[in-house]
Amino acid sequence: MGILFKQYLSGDKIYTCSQCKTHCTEHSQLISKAFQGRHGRAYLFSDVVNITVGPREDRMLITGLHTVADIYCITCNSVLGWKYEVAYEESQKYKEGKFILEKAKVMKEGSW
Amino acid sequence: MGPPQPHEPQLHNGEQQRGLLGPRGLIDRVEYIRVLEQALRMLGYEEVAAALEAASGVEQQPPVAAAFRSAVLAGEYDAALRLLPAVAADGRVADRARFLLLRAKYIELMEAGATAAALQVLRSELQPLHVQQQVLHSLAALLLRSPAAASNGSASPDSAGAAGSTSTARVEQLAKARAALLEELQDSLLPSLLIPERRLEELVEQALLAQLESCAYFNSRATHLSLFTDFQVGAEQLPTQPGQVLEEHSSEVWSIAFSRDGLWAASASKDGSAVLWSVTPSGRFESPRVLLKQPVPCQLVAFSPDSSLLLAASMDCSVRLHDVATGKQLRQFLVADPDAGAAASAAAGGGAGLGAAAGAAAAAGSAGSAAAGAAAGSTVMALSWFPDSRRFLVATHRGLAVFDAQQAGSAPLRRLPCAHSYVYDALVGPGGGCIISVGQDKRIALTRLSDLRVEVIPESGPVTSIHLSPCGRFLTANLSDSLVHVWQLPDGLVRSAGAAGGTFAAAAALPHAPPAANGAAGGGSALAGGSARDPFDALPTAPAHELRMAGAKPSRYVLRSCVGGAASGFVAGGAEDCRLYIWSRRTGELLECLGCHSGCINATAWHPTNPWLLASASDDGTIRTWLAPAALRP
Repeated sequence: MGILFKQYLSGDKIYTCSQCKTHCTEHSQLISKAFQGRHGRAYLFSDVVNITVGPREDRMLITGLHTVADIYCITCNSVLGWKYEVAYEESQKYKEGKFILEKAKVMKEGSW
Repeated sequence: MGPPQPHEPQLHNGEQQRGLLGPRGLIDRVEYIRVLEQALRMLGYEEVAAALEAASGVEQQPPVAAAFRSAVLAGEYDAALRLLPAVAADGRVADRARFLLLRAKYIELMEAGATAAALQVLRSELQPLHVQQQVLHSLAALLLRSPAAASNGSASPDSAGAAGSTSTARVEQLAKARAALLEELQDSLLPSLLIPERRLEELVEQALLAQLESCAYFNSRATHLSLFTDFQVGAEQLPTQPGQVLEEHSSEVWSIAFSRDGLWAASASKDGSAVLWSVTPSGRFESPRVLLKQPVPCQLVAFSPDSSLLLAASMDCSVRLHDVATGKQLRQFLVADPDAGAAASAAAGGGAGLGAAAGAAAAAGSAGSAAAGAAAGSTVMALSWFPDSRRFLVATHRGLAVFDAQQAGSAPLRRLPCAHSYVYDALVGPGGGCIISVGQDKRIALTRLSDLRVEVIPESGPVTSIHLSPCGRFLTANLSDSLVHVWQLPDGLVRSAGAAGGTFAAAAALPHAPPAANGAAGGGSALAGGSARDPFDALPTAPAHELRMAGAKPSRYVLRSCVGGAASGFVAGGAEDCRLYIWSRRTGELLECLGCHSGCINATAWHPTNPWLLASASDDGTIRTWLAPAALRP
C-alpha cells in the first residue's frame, strides 16, 4: 500500500526487528532491561520508530493494571512488544508513553 | 472611491484648503488634487491639468521642483545641480544625488565623444565628492573601453553603442536614461516637493494587488481586473470536479508527473510499469503508452526540463531513460552505492539484455551483502533533473550521485557529499546550482554546488518527501505524521546557477539579493558601501505554514504533495484517509477536501500551465484528474 516510509537510525548500536531487519530503536533510548514480556526478557525504551500502534486494551501485568497497546513492525507486521498508554499506580507512572520491546523479537545491529 | 466630499465649506479660488477625503478620512485633499494633476499630465491633458490648478488653487509642485525635473530630463545637469539644495532632503542624501547627476553628466559627455570635457567633470567635480576610490576608478575605466561597451554598469540601459546608431535612437536612449535617473533621484528628494512619477497608477495597482492577495481562491491565468468592483472569486476556479478516472495500472500507482510544457504526463506503479499520456489543452489524458513492464515495481518518474526525456526508476536499482515523443527506451543506468558498487557493476558488466542485467544486479546485491542495509542502500529514493536536461541527480539511501543522460552505464559523473547518513528525498533547484535533500537527521539540507557550502534547516520530525514550486520560492515537506510544512525560501537561493558544463571546479558568481534593477542601482549601492548578501545566510527557521491532513495521525507511507496553480498559490496533497486536500499557499487555510479515491493517495501533481487541472495517483490503482468548474463552463 504505497511506498512504505522506513526511517533509518544513524547511531552505533541499533536494535532491529528480528524478522525483517527494519530499524527500531537505538541503545541511547534504552531505559531499563529488567522487564518481563510474553516471551521472556524485555527492554524499556523511550522512543521507537517504524512501528504501528494497535488498539488500546487494559492488561494486568506483573506490576499492576495498565492500559497498553501492542506495537507492530511496519514492514512485516510482527508484534514487537507494547506501548504503555496509562499506568494506574503512582509508582508506575514513569512508564507512560514509553515502549517495551521483547528481547526475542529484536536483533542487534551495528558495532556492539 | 466615491466623489470627494470636503468636510469644510467651499473656499474661494487661490486659497489652499486643507481637508480630509474618503469614507475613512484618510486622504489629504491637497495631496489628492496634486496627484490627480500629475496623472492628467501623464495622460497628456496638460490644459486640463492647468485648469484644475487654477480652479482649485493647488499646484502640482512648486516651481523649483518643476524646474529641477525638466532640467534633469533635458540633460541640463548644471542647472539641476544648482537647484539641488532646494529640493534635496539633507546633507548626505544630497551628496548622493549630486554624485548621480555628475555621473550621468560624465557618461553622457563620454558617449557623445567629448572625452576632454568628461575628464574635466571627473577630475574637478566628482573627485571632491569623497566617493570611494573604486567607484572613481571604474568610471575612469569606462573611458578606456570602446564607446560601444561604455554603457556597462552605467546609468543608461543596454545600448547598441553610440557609434552607428541614428540620432532618433540616441535621443530615445537618452530620454530613457534620464527618466531612469529621475526615478533613482526620487529616493534623495523630498516626495512632497517632487511627486514620484506615476503616483496615482502606482496607488491603484497596489490596491488591485491587495485585492488579489486577499482572495484565497484566485487561480486564473487572466490578469484583467476591473476598477469598478472589488475582485472576488469563489471556489469555481479550484480543480474540485472529478474529471477522468484512468485505470491503466493494475496495482497501486506510486508517482505521477507532468512535463514542464504541459503536454505529457507519466505515472509509475507497483505493477512494474510506467505509462506515458499526452495531455490535451482542455485537460484530457489521451493515448496512454506503456513504456516499460518489469517484474519489480516502478517507483518514480521524472520529465526532463525540456520535456523530451523521461526517467523511470524501478526497485531493481535501475533507472531507465526514455524518449518522450517516440516512447522508446534509450538507455539504462544501474544505480549502486560506493561500497556495494564494485560487486554490482562487475556482475552487471557481463549482462547484455535489460532483464539479465537487472537480475544479475539483484542477485549480486543480495548475495554480496551481509546486512540488509547495503541492499536497501541501492534503492532509488529520488530522481531530479538539472536544468540543462542532460544531467540528473539520483539519490539512494547512502548518497547523491549525478549522472549524464547521454552516457550509458553505471558510473556516475560525480558523487556529491551528503549531509545525511540516510537520504529520504532530494531535488535540484531550478537554477541548477543548489541541491535540497532530506534524510534521517530530521533536517532539510541545502547544498550549493559551486562551493559545496551546506546549510541545514531543522525540522520537527522525519521528512518523507519534499517538493519545490516551479518558481523555486516554496518548498513543501511532508512529515511522517500527516503534516505538510510549507517553507518560504529566500529569493535567489535556488535560482542561483551553478558552474555550467562538465567541470564543477570553478566557483559560480553569487547572485546579489535583491537583484539590481539596473546598473545604476548597483553603482549606487557600491557608493553606500552595501555588499551582496548571500541567500544562504537568510534561511528561514520556521515553516511559513503547517498544514494538517487526516487529523495528523502518523502515516506509514511516503506521501507526495505539490505546489501549483496560478502564481504557485495552492498546495495539494493526498492522505491515507483517501482524500485530497487543497490549501491556500498564502494563508495556509484548508480550502477543499475532496474524496473520490478508495485508496491512500500517494502522489499529486498540478498541471504547470493549466491552473485548472490537477491529477492524483492512488493505491486503488487509478489516477483521477480534477478540473475546475470554471474550465467546464462553455
